[in-house]
Amino acid sequence: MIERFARFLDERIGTSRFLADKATKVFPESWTFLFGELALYSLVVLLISGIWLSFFFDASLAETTYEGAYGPLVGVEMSEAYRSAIALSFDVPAGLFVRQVHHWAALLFMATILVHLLRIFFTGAFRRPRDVNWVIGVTLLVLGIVEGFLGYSLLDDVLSGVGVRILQAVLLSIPVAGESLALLVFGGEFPGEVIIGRMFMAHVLVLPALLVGAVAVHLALVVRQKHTQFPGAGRTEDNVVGLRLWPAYAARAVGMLWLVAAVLAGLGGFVQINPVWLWGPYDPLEITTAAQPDWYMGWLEGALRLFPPFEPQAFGVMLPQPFIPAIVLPGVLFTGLAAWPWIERRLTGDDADHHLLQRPRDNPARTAFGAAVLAHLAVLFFGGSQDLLAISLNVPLQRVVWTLRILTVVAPLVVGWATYRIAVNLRDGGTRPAGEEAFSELQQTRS
Amino acid sequence: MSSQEDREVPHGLPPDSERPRLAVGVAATAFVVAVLGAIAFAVVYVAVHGQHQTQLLGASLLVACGGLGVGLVVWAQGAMPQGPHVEDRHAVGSGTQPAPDDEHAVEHDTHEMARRSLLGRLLLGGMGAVGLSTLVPFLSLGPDEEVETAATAWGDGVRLTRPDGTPVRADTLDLGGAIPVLPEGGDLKADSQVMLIRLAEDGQVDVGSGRREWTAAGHVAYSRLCSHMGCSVGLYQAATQSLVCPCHQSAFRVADGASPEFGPATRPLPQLPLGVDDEGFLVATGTFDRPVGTATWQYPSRVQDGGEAGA
Repeated sequence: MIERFARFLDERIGTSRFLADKATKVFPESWTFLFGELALYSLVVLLISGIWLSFFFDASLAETTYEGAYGPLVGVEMSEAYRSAIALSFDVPAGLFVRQVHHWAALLFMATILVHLLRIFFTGAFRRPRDVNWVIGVTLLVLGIVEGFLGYSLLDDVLSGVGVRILQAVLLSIPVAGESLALLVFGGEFPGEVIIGRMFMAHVLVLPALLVGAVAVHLALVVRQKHTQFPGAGRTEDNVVGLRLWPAYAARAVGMLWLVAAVLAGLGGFVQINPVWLWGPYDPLEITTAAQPDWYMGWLEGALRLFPPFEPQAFGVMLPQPFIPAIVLPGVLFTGLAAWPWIERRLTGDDADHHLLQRPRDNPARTAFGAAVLAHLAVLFFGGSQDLLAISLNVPLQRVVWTLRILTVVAPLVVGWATYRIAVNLRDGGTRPAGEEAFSELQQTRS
Repeated sequence: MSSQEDREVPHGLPPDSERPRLAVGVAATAFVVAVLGAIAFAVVYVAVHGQHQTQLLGASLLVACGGLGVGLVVWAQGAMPQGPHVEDRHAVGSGTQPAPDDEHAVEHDTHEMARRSLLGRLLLGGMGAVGLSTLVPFLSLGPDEEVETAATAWGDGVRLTRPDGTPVRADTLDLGGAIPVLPEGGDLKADSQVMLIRLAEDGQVDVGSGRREWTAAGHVAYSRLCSHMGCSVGLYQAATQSLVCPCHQSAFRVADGASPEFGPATRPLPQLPLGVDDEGFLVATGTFDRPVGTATWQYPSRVQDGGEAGA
């Protein structure tokens, strides 16, 4: 039956020719090539769980009184958005499970994107002709961060409500247009009555469309340009050595999809995440201590907490304090990331196409610079938890903040210098990648 | 580079290795486990409610997806040709053609796979089962308690009110007039709406179908939901005594039990039995003789006076 269906398709749209062409595509193998794939599979789980959730979530700020199954909130005034999030957690069969799977999938999506990006950066896979795809990848990272923030902001609990308040402050801090921009986004003063509905449309329609579209182009370019490979015997700039798409590579890829789904099912079933019923409905009078954003927002939260109270005035206008940590810092980071292939080309004068990857040690300067930026971001990330650090270390908050402020400058310098030394040492040690000998042996047995 | 001999055996293994057979065994077992996990997921969804549902859903779906994942990876790593294969890299834009040799290789590999048809069927079955089981939570879209779908808010003694809530006296409607009415205090506006028509000055009226006693003070009342597809039968032609549905132009004979006169409707509009209470207001003396609106599979068993069904 399957053969008849295949023939049916082939006679009408010529699938066999297309598939035969694609099936012979060779993909190089390395465990480091896995992370982008894992991000893709997390996205699949996000889309399916998200579609399910969208049927039950009510993105409305209309006031209501809770009458559901969760006792402590019965009789409490709240928005329809928060009520439907609580109903999802207590009244809708499988609701809590799918909510938790969705949230865990978002965390895994962002984590695998980040590791994938680091792999691309430290092995020089972004170099010509893949510079364009690198820019698409950086765009996906930014879209993912925004999408994640919007997702957990929808529930209108105390935590996310405070997050939306901070979003408004960030908008307000923008020179010249800040006030108008905030009024535009919120449809008036904070919180207004429309922000949840607007964030919902962005979260379920606009950003997913952009994400899926960008992922499609991202993958199409990988197929078109063929995958990079690590150097080794028989591997040159002019060939691809690895596994054919059909059958083993495809089977393993689909297997990985199911394994990602399995891990996320396990996390969603057993590891509680964002128990919104404990936070309570958002009320502009309410605030919680020790609040943390999702991990991929941690560095931005840290920047807001660590940046000094600097607010210059001149000619009757003022640059609000949050502008530099909340707009300039991510602006410089993402612009710099996107422009990195061209920056490096300018610095090295290397304008050639590259299909063979570098190990991090092969390019100590780039590796050291990347490590330094990571060190800076790591300090900011810890800055996002300075209150918790102060409590758990039993140190005054002021000392934690000042230590971290100094570290934002010192840590990158130290880490960058140490990384450079280690990379140079490894490179000059002359060790070769493992597995290469086995490959040469195989080559010999065949010839 | 890609000669046929290399493809027979996974990379780095002697040709008589037991590994492929072992891998196929593990993969087959994993696919069966996946099917069991999928069944467990559906069973948990339907049978377990409350506290532990989340954990059990997670555990069963983990087993279901994990079985497929482990099976596929083991099959791929243990019993599929491992290469290495070599493909030339051309500059983009120059056009690439797979060498004919490659196409034969794909055919060869596919035949190799076809030899494992049992495993392939187990995989398809497993993916089908897991895929279907993940659809089961969409059952949450339905209401969480039993709903009596055929119910309306009418009953013995319920007053007829205008849409603004005022009750209708037996002497207010003009002869030949028709107004939409609702049950007093009832909120089932969608299903309970009725067309009240005054056919005579007073007394009971013969509207065919032997239901003289269902009329009162010259009035007759029919469900305002078209028996074709549930639109409101909003038009009354006094001259021909016809109720007409504007959606698909079904017409009903008011003087003959609202039997279908024209158009796609096959069943008469359900009739509401009328009376007059002590204060002179029109009331229902019961509920409709049959389900209102469009019909379902269960229609015949829900018609109260079965003899009249489909008249």
